[in-house]
Amino acid sequence: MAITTPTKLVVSKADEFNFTQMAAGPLQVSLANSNHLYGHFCPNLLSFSPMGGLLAASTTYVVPVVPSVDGLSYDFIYTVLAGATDPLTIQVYKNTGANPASGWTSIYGPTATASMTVGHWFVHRHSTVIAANVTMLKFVVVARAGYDMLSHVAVQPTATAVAPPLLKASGFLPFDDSLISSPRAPINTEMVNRAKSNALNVLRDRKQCIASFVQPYVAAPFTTGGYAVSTPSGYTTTPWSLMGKATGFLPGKQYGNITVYCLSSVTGGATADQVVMDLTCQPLSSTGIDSTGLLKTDLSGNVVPSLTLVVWGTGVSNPEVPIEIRVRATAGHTTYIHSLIAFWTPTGAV
Amino acid sequence: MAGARIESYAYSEGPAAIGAAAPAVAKYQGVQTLAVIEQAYPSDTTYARPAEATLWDDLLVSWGTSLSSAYPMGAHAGHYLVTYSQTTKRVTIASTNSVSFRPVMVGSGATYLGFTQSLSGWATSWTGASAPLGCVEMVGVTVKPAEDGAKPTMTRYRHGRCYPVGWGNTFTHKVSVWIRQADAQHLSAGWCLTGRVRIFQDSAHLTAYSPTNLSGYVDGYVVNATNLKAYGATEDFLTMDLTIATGRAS
Amino acid sequence: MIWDSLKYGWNVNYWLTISGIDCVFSEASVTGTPPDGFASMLKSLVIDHSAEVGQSVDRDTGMGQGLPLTFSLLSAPALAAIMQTPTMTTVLTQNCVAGTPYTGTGTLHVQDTSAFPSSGTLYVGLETFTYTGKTSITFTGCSNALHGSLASSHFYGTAGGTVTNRPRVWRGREVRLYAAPVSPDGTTTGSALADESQEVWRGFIDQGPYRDGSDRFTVEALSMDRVLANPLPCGATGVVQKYSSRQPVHQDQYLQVVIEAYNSSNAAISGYPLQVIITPFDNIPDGTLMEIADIIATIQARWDAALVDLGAPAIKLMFNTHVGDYTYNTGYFLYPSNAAIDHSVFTVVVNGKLKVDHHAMWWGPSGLGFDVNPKPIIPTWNGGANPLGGGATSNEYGQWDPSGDTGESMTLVVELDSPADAIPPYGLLTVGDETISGKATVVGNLAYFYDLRYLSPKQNIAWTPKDNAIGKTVEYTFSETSDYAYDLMCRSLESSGAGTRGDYDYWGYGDGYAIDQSAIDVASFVSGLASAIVGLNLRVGGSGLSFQDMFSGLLALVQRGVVARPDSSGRVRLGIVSTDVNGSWYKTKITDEHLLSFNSEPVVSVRKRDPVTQIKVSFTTDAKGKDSPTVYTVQETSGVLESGGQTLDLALALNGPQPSADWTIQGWCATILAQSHAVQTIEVRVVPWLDVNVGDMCRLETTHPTLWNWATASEGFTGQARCIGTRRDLMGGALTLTLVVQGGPVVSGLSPAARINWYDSSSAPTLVDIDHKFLSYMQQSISENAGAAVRLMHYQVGMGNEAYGGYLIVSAANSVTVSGVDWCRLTIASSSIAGASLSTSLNSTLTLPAGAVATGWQNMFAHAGDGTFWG
Repeated sequence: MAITTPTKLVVSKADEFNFTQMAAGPLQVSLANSNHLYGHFCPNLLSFSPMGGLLAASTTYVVPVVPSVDGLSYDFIYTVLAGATDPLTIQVYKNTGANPASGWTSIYGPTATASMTVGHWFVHRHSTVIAANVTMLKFVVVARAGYDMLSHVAVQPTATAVAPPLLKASGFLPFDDSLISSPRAPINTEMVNRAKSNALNVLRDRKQCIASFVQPYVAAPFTTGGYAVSTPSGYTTTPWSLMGKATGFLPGKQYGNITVYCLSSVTGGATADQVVMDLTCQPLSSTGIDSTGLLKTDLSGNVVPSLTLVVWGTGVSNPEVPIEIRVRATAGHTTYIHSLIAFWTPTGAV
Repeated sequence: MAGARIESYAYSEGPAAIGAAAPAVAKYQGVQTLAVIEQAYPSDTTYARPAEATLWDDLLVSWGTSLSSAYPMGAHAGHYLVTYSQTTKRVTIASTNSVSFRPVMVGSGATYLGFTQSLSGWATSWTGASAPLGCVEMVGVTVKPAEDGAKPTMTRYRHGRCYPVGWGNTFTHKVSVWIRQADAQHLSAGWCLTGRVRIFQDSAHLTAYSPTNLSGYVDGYVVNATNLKAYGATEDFLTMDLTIATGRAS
Repeated sequence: MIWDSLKYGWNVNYWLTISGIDCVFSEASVTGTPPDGFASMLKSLVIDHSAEVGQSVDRDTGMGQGLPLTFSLLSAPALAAIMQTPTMTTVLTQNCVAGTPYTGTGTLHVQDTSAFPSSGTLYVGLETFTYTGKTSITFTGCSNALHGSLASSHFYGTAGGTVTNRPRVWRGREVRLYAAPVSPDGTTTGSALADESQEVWRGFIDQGPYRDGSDRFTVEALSMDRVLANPLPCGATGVVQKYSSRQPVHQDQYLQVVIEAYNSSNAAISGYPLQVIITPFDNIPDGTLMEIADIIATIQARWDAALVDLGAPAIKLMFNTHVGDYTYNTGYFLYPSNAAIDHSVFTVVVNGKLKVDHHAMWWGPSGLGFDVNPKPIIPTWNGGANPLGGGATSNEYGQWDPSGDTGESMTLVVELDSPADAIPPYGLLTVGDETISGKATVVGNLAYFYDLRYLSPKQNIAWTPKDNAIGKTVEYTFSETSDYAYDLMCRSLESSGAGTRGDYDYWGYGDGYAIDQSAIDVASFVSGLASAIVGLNLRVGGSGLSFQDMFSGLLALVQRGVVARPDSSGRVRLGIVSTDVNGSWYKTKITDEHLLSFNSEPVVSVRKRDPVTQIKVSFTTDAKGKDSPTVYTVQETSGVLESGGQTLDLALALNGPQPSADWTIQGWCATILAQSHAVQTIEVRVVPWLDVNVGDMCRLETTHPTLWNWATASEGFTGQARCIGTRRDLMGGALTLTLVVQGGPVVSGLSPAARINWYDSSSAPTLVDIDHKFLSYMQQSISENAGAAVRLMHYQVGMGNEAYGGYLIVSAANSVTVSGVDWCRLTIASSSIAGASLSTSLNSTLTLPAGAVATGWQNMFAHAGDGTFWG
């Protein structure tokens, strides 16, 4: 008589579907599996290796996010290569607007980590709820200047059991077994459909980071270093600079949507369509990916999402998505990318 | 009602909603709808129609009841009674509370009831000009006992311009009817020779035919009909044999 | 229903229309106005001698097999005007392209109108036009797509461009047969003929009209679903002219060279930067495939021309290609000043995927503050370290990684047999006897096929011809891939090339059957297939294949069929039906009193094939349907050992091996194998007024000894049956149904569940609205309970403790329309929902009660632990 969350998925055998009474049948198993999915589908919301070399006394990163609409708790995992034993102090802020200049609220810390061991990897974790309306996270790391390297930050939903309440904003409807296990209960179409719709809703709600670029967030970055793109004056056609290249995988072949969120600043000049994410897929490539168009975002100093690109694999199992990101600066100006995250949402054939 | 007669069933699929909002003409509009206009409300036509196929007797009663309902389901003011007289062989549509009105014939209702198509003027009672086609008086009826119709054929027989079908996994009765020449054309018009009918052997027996009630009525579907044969020197009497299929008692 | 009235002495009068012919042909004279699009009616139809008409679906192919219709038209003066070879003929001089039908505003351009009257009717192909005026070479004031014909494309210079004053073509005209009610006194009912008529059959003329006897013309027509066995024509054909490596070029590709020069104070020297930008392909059609040598030559020619404008001295432009070094010394670049240049920046920008390994530039000559000997420039970065490292000889600023995909591929250049305006950009190609996939562009009558690959499972491997490709014949046709089977099927049915047949008219001319969307029950494709097929990526192609070749394997696998039948809209349409012997609730009950015998028993067992013990699934991805090596077998091992292998061969148009598809295919095969032993096919002859069509579930309750009830070991049968065929005798209306029954274990349909959309009170409701599709179910539920109210359980989905919700007692179900939307409104006699109120935000749902309190009819549906299995 409860909402049970199995700890792992159970695969029913084909013969269990034949000539079996419905007392403890495969329908109940598949509905419980969907509960499991809710609690244990934890794709990375963020996964980035920040640039900028060794940590300064205080380093700030501002990163766009698209969290689950269910207001889940997320695990934050920081991996540090320690150069000194001094503990770090970490604080995380959230923002619900697009402008990083204001609107920050602390959601974690400032908390001091444990002491580190020099020359070893150190991992710090915490679990914090990210509300559905959060658009940016700010990480402030205080360290002993010039010794430590923040190698990687990962943020992913916390694995949990499904607990009431109950009806989730993502459309997930938890399965309570009290009806199906009562004597001669009706086995109805809603139950059969629910397993599938639950799985789809969970998959679509939890965006996954598939490409990232993050550098320290400074308000006036252009004189203090960091990776920037400049174009000398006099250019009539401003060239693109290849920022980076990555390869994504679509296991099991799916449709999906990719949206890029970019936070960047310019010294001046044109700000529209200055960041391009190209899946180098036109015409159809041998890796079996097809897509339409490029993703472009603007540089406005605020978080700007691109249009959403639909990507699908065409008949190749485990197709790859080669991704290139190019940036340009208007002639005579410099562009600084604070952070750029590409999110993937599975969609498609139902 | 004295004497033998055949009553037809009028096919209807409804809608049974009647009164001011009812559609004027139903799907498969044969004879199932009757309407009235009251003198005090000359722009309102009130329709009456049963929800399903109905026997002649019950049809007349249901029209009267429907029209007598409170407005807007029924007519504005009148209470109506539709009756049929076996002796005069005429249908009368009358207002029991002396409201002046005029009936409106819909579809094939005029000939079915024995009225002219377009009626004019106002009165509290209207009587048909001729004998109705929906109920035909006979001189005599003979019903043979039921036979097992377990292997019925799907037949087509012709009368007039119509080719109705006969069917059934039923009991069948052979029924012979004798009618006068004057009534023969009414029978040939078709309403009482096709589909479902109720054949009364005489007016005293208003219950169904059974081995213990051999004078009862036979209610069933006409599966076959022979041609009319004339008798008598002046061919005043005609006879035909019908095969009527009645449902099995389970 | 029109057949119900037959019980009460009514009869039917048949009438039919032939598309494009302005006449309604009927058996008897009719009252009532003609249907839309037709002006005259003629009492000349004779169908007495037609065999039964009807539809059936073959479970092993999923294809509908409608019975043909043969009818005659009695001679009449009005008919003579139509049955005449054209007396006036001309031809089109411009293409007439299908579009939205127009009235009185069109123009047809023809060679000569002199023989035609000043206004009248024209026949072009299967389409009928009228015109109100003419010039010597045009007909003006045209209206098209008249009398049931469809707006179509007609091309000048072809036989289809002939314009005549009488119908020239009969084969392919659509025939629609209707039954109109006739009351027992012989009158027809309804003010418009179409109002109370029911469509009985729909198809296309196959033969005729031909003179038959002394007084009539006879026409033979085939059912609409028979056309799906016709193969679709090929796309384009031609001969290979060349086979070489090519790349696409684009008009906006540019080569930009910028030279900046700064003095020691880091100030730009006056006159700098210098720029040269060329767009070498701006006068070549975008996407044209060019050989590498041609690309280089084009760039160099343009570069030379740009430098000539500027004058001296030397800037060399070198290309190193993958076929070897190629050095070209170009013209010179003028610099504006020789003021002391402290450092310079030299940048070359190329956009676009030129297959060049690198390019380098050297400064030239003396006297300018530069080295005399040409040598590589070492560019300096704009402050900071050069990310490419010092000493690089070329600035790969903005250059694509040449090791990645640059779009080059081996290309076949094919001269087409006839010019094509456009050919599908992606499809299947047969070169000689090899079939491969590739992309295509066309310029004039040359087609360029590139990105050529073997078919699955080697689709990652670029194709090379096994011998000299030049001179081989090529056949090219479209192919389409999709995850949505219904999308591909509807496109195959509708595509006409003009995009006018409906939402799915997407493919090119000749790639589909050009059936108008009004003749297709698209909703049944979407709902019937979407739930059945998940995760299969399909690829279909058109050349020489029919709809049956492409989809029958898939339909048989998932136990569906495509059949033309009268549906809920009252029309005959192509739709998807289930052929699965299991189903949910039934539409009609067939009992002993409905059975007819006519020279034979009313129930006949049709000999079923031996039970299937193995299913062989092959994937056909090539255009000719040749077996591909990937064959997938599902076996019922014990069955094969005991009774031998009875194989069902299914060909699926899968787009390559898909591991995720394995589970889907296995599951469906297991279902077929499990059912196969106990399924029985019977034919039942019944009265005309049973409302049963192909694909409907019925309930059969009979004591007829032809049937044996395996579950209870007794004569007769009580249980569900799926209708897979109907045949109606046109004269009497008697129906012969082909039913599939499950002879083995008892199967129940799933209990229905209806989300509550509206209620009048959350704690003590008297009215509740649910989806309209449950209306007939609820009404049947109540009538099966002898009219008494039935109980429904209430629960809230996803809100925890789903057994807590109480129940409602429903006494009636009616249809209501609220704001234009139809709902099923339940009248609640009483309720006991103790504490759990109805709430739409909390997903209140009604379903059947537990078995102990359910009615007998409700207990027919699946309940936990009732000993049945559900299907």
